[in-house]
Amino acid sequence: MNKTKTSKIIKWARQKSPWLLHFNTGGCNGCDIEILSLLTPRYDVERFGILKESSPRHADILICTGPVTQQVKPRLQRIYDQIPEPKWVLAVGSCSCSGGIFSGAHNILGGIDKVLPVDMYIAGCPCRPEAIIDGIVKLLEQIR
Amino acid sequence: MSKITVPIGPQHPLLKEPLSFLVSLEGEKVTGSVLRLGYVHRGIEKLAEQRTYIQNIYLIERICGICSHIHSTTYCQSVEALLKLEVPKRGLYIRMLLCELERIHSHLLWLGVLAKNIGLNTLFMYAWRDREIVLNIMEEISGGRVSHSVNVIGGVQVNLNESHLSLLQQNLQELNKRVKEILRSIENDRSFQARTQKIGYLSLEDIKRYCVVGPVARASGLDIDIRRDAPYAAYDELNFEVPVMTEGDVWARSILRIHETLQAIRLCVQIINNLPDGPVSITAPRRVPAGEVASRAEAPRGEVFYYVRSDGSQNPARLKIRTPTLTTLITLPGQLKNMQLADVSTIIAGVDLCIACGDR
Amino acid sequence: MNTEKAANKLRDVLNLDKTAIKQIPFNEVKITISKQQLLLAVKTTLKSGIWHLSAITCQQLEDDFILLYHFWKSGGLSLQIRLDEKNPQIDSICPLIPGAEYYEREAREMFGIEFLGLPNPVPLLLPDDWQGGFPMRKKEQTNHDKSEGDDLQQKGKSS
Repeated sequence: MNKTKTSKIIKWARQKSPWLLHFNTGGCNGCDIEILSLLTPRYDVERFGILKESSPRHADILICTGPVTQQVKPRLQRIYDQIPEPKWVLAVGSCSCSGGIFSGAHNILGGIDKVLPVDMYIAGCPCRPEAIIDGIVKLLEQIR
Repeated sequence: MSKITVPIGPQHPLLKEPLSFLVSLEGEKVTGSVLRLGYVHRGIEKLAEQRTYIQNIYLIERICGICSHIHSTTYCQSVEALLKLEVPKRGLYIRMLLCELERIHSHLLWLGVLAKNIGLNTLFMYAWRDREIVLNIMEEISGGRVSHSVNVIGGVQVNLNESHLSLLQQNLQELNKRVKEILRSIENDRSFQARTQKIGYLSLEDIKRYCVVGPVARASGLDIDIRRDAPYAAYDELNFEVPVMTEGDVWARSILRIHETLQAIRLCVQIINNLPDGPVSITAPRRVPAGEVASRAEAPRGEVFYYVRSDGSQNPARLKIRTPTLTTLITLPGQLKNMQLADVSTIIAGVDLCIACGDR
Repeated sequence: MNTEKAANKLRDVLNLDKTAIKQIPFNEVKITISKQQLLLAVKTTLKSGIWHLSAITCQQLEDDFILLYHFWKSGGLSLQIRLDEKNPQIDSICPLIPGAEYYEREAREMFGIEFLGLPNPVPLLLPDDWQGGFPMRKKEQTNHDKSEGDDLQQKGKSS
């Protein structure tokens, strides 16, 4: 099999089965429960090949919610480093985009992009599950 | 036997929130644990002193996404007490309706998370599917699934019309049937009992020493409920029972919460059948006179306490929030002692933590 | 015993003036005591059958610190103590009520109050490497944007 065919198959596999790792970096839980709702029968993202994984080593996409607090920052960096390449970062919710309603507080550094390179911002307070699915689909199209 | 320390968290599959445990083990038995909070500390009490009373409603709602309405209800009723306002009855009934709907959604959410931690994925899917009924109702009334922004100082800013009431009637009947089905299927299920009975035990003595509140306290025999003992809103006009159990373990907490869900559905039906006519809010003056107030309410996890002090300026001088999760967190090291490592996830899930509430 | 009777008993035991007792909403009796009377007041309250401590509020009023211990049994009972700014020290009530530990730890790290006899005096909510002083004190103005590190917005796309 030549190189282009192999790389095509790998790209197809990456697009058709992105595995998520979810990390709450200091949010209020609103966006987190909407992300968990994605797995439930109403939205059912498993039909897109998406699985929610528990270990950073198994994941392709890191979904972050919440503003980055000072205590969480080194842990977030460590988790990102543990995810094998290629990896993508999704910032879900207004807090992870920019700090949201909490920006300016004594313990808040800002949005996720103060620590990691973000590939997709999905705004909302809290973000609707439909918007999260839309964001993931647009991200997967970017991989193409 | 070897002694090791297992770090659990802050990123872990048990909870969706960052919380760190250092569990010391001797073989498979837990000998001690140390908790580390503070990953979700956003300094809300300090932020509240820099915003006006009206801006704070939107900040307070976002302390926690699961129990956002009860936080804004307690805050609004504190400020209304300082302003000596009397909220119209219809506004209070709509507030109570959303409080009870939130209780139902929080307990179903928790049931799904416990089921996932035990390994019973089917119950997770069923509980969260039924939870969507409640979220649909809340979205019809307020426009938001998770964050409703229904409260204003002086009442509420939404009203219920005929179509809302008929939607509520239909859906609450369906929900009642489904929750009863869930109760029937797990109450006598031997595997569920084997995974949750005699685990994470708290005696009544421990409850009193640590001043624990909520379903965890009621499952160990303590009969307290702010809605009945110190009624706020219009709870003194409604009939409901407060379930109490004595086993004190994770199983008792599970069954108790499902009974509480059924009582909450009963309360919702009473509210929509006896909804008074009239306005839903009263105009509130902008300036809050100097004074202080201590108010309590019954959140899905227990007693939530607010202390507000005003010095006559447009920002609060002090806003103190004590959430029920802080009272249950302090009992966790005691609950985990002498338990097996495999039961740690069940115990942590059984207590129904909301770290966002605890850290503020 | 309900909170009204408990308040009267406290007034007798501690020899307080009638002006030390105030009513505030919602159904809460506030009693002002001195910091030396704290342990005796808590013991008397526990003996009256009121053992539930809702919270310990700390606040600043004209540079001095005010501590409020909120008890509850169908009605509220708050003990108010004023601490001097130069010497914010008080006895810990954890030996009597173990559930007070988290509230005292939070007051300690946010305001700098020293609780003598606190079993676990480590930070509760603030980070391990916190350098910013006592954040809840009035002098600390924290409404600034901490931009640590650069913005790594290299390939961002909005959805």
